[in-house]
Amino acid sequence: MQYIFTRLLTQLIPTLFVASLLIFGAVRLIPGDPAVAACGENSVGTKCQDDLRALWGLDQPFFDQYVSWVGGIFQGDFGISNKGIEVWDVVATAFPASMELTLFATIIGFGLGLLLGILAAINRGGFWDYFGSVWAGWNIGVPSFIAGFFYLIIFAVALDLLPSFGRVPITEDFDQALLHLIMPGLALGGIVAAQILRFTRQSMLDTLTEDYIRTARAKGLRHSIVILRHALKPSLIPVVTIMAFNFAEILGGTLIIESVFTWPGMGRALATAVRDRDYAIIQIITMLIVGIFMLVYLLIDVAYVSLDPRIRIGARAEG
Amino acid sequence: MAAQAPPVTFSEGYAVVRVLATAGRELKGIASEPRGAVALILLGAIFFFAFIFPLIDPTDPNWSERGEKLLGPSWGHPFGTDQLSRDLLARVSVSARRTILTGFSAVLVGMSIGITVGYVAGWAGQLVDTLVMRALDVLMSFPGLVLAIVVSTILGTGLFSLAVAITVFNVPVTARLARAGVLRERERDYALAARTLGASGRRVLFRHVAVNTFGAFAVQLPIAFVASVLAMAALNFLGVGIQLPNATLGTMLREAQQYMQPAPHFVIFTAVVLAVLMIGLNFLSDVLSERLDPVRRRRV
Repeated sequence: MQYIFTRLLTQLIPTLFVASLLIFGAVRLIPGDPAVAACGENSVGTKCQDDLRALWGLDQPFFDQYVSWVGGIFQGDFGISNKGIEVWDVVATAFPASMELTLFATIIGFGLGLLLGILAAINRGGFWDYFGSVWAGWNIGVPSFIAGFFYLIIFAVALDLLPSFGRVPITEDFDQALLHLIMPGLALGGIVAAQILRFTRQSMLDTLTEDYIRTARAKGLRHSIVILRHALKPSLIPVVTIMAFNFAEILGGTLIIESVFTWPGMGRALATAVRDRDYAIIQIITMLIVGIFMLVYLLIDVAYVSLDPRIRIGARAEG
Repeated sequence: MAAQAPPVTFSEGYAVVRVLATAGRELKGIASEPRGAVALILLGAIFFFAFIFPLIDPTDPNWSERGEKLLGPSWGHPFGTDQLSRDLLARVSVSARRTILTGFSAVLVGMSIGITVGYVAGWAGQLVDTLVMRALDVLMSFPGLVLAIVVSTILGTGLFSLAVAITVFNVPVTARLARAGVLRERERDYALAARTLGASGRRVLFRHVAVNTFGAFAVQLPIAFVASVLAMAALNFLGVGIQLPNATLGTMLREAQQYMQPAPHFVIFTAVVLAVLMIGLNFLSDVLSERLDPVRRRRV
């Protein structure tokens, strides 16, 4: 507990503060005046520009703008975008969409990775082992967004099995929602699945040589029981520890995958905002992504501390 | 000829031979592993396709033939044509070259800056070190792609601004490696010995300490190269750093995406070339880092 508190105070909050200053400053360094862009080039000195500047707070000093921006974030007021939409509304639709995709991809990655890993281990040298290693090689070699294009060509264009773009909310139509999630999930989760597969396979192979497995076999337990109850459980411990890292990796991957599958999440909102030079959206989404990443890494560290007492003692000795 | 080239001394000639021999041995070693062999074959094919093939085939990648929009593969256009009737074979080839060259120069420049920053921070210590390391911490808290998007948005459109962004993205990791190396090596006896002999701080850093930190960069280089080429392709695909009509593999994928139904060959050929490049680089970096990492090598 004390460790979490120290980390929050000395690392997370200062870094977030500096990051927010940087992002805010960087966005203001982007060349071109957004008010001129919105009102047209022949509008110099017109009321349109002055009104927009006042609306976006651009007529105030840098420091005041920053304070009101950060203050707004804490009150759920994210500002107004170029197109006059509340940025909060953009984020409120994009954030759940990205989270849904990230979660689904994590599930696919872990499910497939575990399944293929177990199959490869108990079928060592056989078809599933070979299939698993080729599949892992493909996913490790080919980045997710390129793999996404191959899946699109195969499953949407050639076979016409799956929808090629968009999202259906899971609360409206469950089947359609799943169909839309499969391809982006497979592309995103692939690299995770490959790592989990290799890990699980090795871990299972190690476990299968233990004495207690032989004992379980010797007392006449069925093959499937030995595998599922005796071998699988201890093999899973190292697999679970790499879970959080993969969650962060998948979240980063959504930035691009969303544009491949026209998924209405944060990555796509960011890409669109960059194209439209929509500063309010760029700074909020960047800030959110940085914040989420730092939070995930903090959670990983906390998990390690609770698993490994040596780190805890080290922290106490220092503080 | 005004100036005579200085004669190659024995030790210089010997050094060249030694480097070549080491490179040769390294290549042989890589090829002896299955993944390494696959990587070398794929990268060889890409190298031929991107750098030598354009010399043989003089088709202008930006020339558009009237009324030949989005044609499928044929003898005249082995990869087909794009939405502006341009020859895809020539375009993919030129794009691959541009992607590789931009990615590679961004890595080299980024790592050079990172190494310098890391040396300075590690050698100077105290306040400079703290300031530099805190700044790098903040940079590293940004996911690489987000950092590159922000930087290249500030710098404006164009391939150059993207190259600068990817350069920045390579600085923090390298700087940390360099700093860690300097901190470790400066305490060694040989550094103390050099000091005792009266060598200046700069001489100790560059002649003695620096040389012993290079191993880490050799491991980092292929990894950085993979990440940078991927980031370039991804960002170009998102529409960052596009410079018309000069295509890269990422911008071509972006265009191809809009014509997926009527002209799947457009996506397929572009994605296959990019995939081959990435598989080759990934496998090569895997094998290389296994071979170069002394801890892992000793275990083998």
